[in-house]
Amino acid sequence: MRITFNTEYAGINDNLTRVAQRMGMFQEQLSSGRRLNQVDDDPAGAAVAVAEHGVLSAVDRYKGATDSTNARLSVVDSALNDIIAQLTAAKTAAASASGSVGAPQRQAAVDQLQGIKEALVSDLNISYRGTFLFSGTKATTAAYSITSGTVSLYQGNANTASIDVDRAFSIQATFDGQSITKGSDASDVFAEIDTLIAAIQAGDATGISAGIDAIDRAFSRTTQFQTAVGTSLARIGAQNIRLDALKQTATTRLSTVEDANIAEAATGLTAAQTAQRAALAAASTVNQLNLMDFLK
Amino acid sequence: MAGLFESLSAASRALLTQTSGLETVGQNIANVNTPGYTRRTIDLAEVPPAETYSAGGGVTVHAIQSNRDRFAERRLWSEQPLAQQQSATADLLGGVQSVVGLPGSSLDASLSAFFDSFADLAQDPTSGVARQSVVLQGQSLSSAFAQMSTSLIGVQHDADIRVQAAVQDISQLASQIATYNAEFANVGGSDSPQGLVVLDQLRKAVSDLSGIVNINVTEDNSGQLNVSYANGKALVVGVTTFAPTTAATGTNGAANVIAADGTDVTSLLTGGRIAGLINVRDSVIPGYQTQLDTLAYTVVQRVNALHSAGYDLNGAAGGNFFTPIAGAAGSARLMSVSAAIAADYSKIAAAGAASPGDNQNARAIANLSDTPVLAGNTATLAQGWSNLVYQVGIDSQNARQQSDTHTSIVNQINALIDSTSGVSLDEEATTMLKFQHAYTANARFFTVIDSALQTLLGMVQG
Repeated sequence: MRITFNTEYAGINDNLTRVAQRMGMFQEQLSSGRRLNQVDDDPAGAAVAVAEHGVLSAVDRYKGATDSTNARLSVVDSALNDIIAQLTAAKTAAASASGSVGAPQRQAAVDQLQGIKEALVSDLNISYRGTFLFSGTKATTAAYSITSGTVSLYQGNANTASIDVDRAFSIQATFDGQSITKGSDASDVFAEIDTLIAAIQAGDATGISAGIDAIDRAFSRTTQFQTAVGTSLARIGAQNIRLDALKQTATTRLSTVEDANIAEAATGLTAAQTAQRAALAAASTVNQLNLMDFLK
Repeated sequence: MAGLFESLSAASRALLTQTSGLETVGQNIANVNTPGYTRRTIDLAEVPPAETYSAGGGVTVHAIQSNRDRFAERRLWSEQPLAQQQSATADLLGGVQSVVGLPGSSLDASLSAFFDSFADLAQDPTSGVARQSVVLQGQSLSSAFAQMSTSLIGVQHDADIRVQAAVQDISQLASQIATYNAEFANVGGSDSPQGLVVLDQLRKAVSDLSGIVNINVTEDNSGQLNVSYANGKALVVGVTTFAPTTAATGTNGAANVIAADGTDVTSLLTGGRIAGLINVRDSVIPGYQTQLDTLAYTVVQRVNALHSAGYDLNGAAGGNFFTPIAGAAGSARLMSVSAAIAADYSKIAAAGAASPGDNQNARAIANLSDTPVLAGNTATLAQGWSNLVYQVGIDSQNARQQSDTHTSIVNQINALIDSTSGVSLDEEATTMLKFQHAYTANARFFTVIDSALQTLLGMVQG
C-alpha cells in the first residue's frame, strides 16, 4: 500500500488524539479520585451507585432516627426511674402511717404523699423537644395538670407514635401515661393516693392497706413499662451496630464502583505519557527527511 | 528518412513533454494538503514515424489523469453516514449526561432529601422546623425535576438548531454538486485537465454530503453524479437541485425536513449526522423525558394520595401536598408544592389520626422511598431513577463506541483512498528527477541537432 504524506499525518493525528484521551481519562481519575466521572464511564456501575447512595441515605436517615429515639427513650427511662422511686417512697410513707402512730406522723406521711403526687405529675409531664412523651399522640398537651394539690384526669390519649429505625422496624416513641397510672384499675394512682391520704388522716388501716396495694400495682405497671423501654433501648443499640455495619458495607460497595484505583490510574497515566512521548517522537521524524532534501 | 529539422521538432516536442511532466509534479506537490485533490499522473505516448525509414517523432503527452479509487470512494460514502450519525448522537448525549449528573448528587439526592424530611417530621410531628424543612425539600425536589426537564428540552432545542443547520448544509452541498455537474459537462468531462479539477471538487462535495445524510449516488454516461436520499427521493439530478427545507411541524414546533416535492422526509433520514440529531431530538430525549415525567407524576400522585388521607397539625383533613397534575406528560416541568402548604406548613398532614403528635402519615410518606410504586409496583422511585441513569449512560457509551468504531473504519477507507489518490513527496521527487533528467538529455539532443544544422549551414555558406 502506498503511504503518502497525508496518510502519515492522519495516522499521527489519530494516534496522538487517542493517547491524549487516555491521558485525560487517567488525569481526571487522579485529580478527582473517582473513576465514575460521568455516567457513560460505567453505566451499570452508575446504576449500582444510585442504589448504594440510596442505601447510605436510608442508613443515615435511620441512624438519625435511632439517635433521636434513643435520646427520647433515655428521657422516658429516667422519668420511669423517678416514678419508681416516688412510688417506693409513697409505699414507705403509707407504711409509716399505718398502725398506732400519732397525728404528727400521719401528717408527715400525708405531706410526703402530696409531694410525691406532684413529683409523679412532673415525671409524667416530661417532654422531649416540646413533645409530651406520656400524652399518647396529644403531643402538645401535658398528660396531667395539678391545681391546688388536685391532679386532673389523664389529658392525653391512648394512641402512641412510633419512629421507624429501619424498614419494617419501628420503636414506640410516645406513651399512654394512663397505662402506667391506671392500667386496668378503676381509678388512677393519683386518686388512689388521695384515697390513701384520706385513709391515713382517718387512721383507717384497711384503707391504708388498700392504698398500698394500689401503689404496688402502679409500681408493677411502671416496672413492666420500664422493662419494655429497656428492651427498646437495647434493640436501638443493636440496630445502631447493624446500621454501622450496613453503612460500611454500602460505602465499600460504592467505593468499588465510584472511586478510582489510584495505583492503576497512576500506572495508566505513566504508560499513556510514555506512549505520547513515543508518538510525538515518531511524529517529529515523519518526513523529516525525504528525497527532496537530497536534490541539489 | 527523417531530416535534421524533423529531429529538431522531435527534440522540441520532447522538451515540452518533459516540462509537462515537471508541471504535473509541481501541481501534485502544490496540492499535497488540498482536501479532495487526487494525484495527477501524466501519460506519455511516442509519436509515430512520419515515413518508412524514421525511428519516430519523439514523445507527446497522451493524457493527464487523476488517480482515483472509485470503489473506495463509494465505501466512504456508505460508511461516513454511520460514523457521523453516531458522532452526532454521542455529542448530544454528552449534554444529556451533564443534565443527569452523577449518582448521589442529582435527582436521587433530592428524592432522598425529600423523603428524609418526612422521616424527620415523623420524629417530631409538631416541630415547625421539621415542617418548614418538608416544604423546602418539596420545593427543592420540584425544582430539581423542573430543572432537569427544562435542561432536556434545552438539549432537544440544541439538536433542533443543528438539524436546521444540517438541512442548510445539505441544500448548499446539493447546489454545489449541481453546479459542479454543470461545469463538468462544460469543460468536456474528465478528458480535460479542467474536468479533473471539477471532478475532485464534485466528489469532495458528495463525500461531505454523505457525512450529513445517507445518500445513493449514481453516475450517468457523461460522468455527472446524481444524488438521492437513501429512500430514492431525488436530491440532485444532473444540474437540477431538489433542495430540502425545514418546517416547524414537528413536536413542539421542532423543524421537520421537507423534500423539494413537499413530502416530509424526517423519518426517512436514517443515516448521517442529521439522522443522529433527529433520533436524539425526536426519540431518545422524549424517551428520557417520559421516564422523568413518570417519576415525577408518581411522586405527586403517591404523596398526594397519602397526604390527603392524613390530618394536619390542626386536626383538619390533609389536602394535596403537590399541586395536582392531570397526566404524566410534562409532570416533571409542572411539579410544585401546593400553594396552601407552601403558605402554611401546619397544613402538612403528618398525622394518620386527628392528633398533633400522631406521625403515621409522615412515616407512610417517608416509607414511599422504599416502596415499589413504579412499573406496576415492581420498582422503587430510586430504581426508576437508576434505570434512567443507566439508560442515558448505556446510550451514550454505545454511541461513543460505535462512533469510534465507524470513525476508525472511515480513517482506514481514507487511508485506502489516499494510497491511490494521495501525494507522496518521495514519489514526486523521484518523478521530478525522472523528468528533470529526461529534460536535460533532450536539451542535450537538441544541442547536438542544432550543432549538426550549424555544420550543414556552414557547408552551404562555405
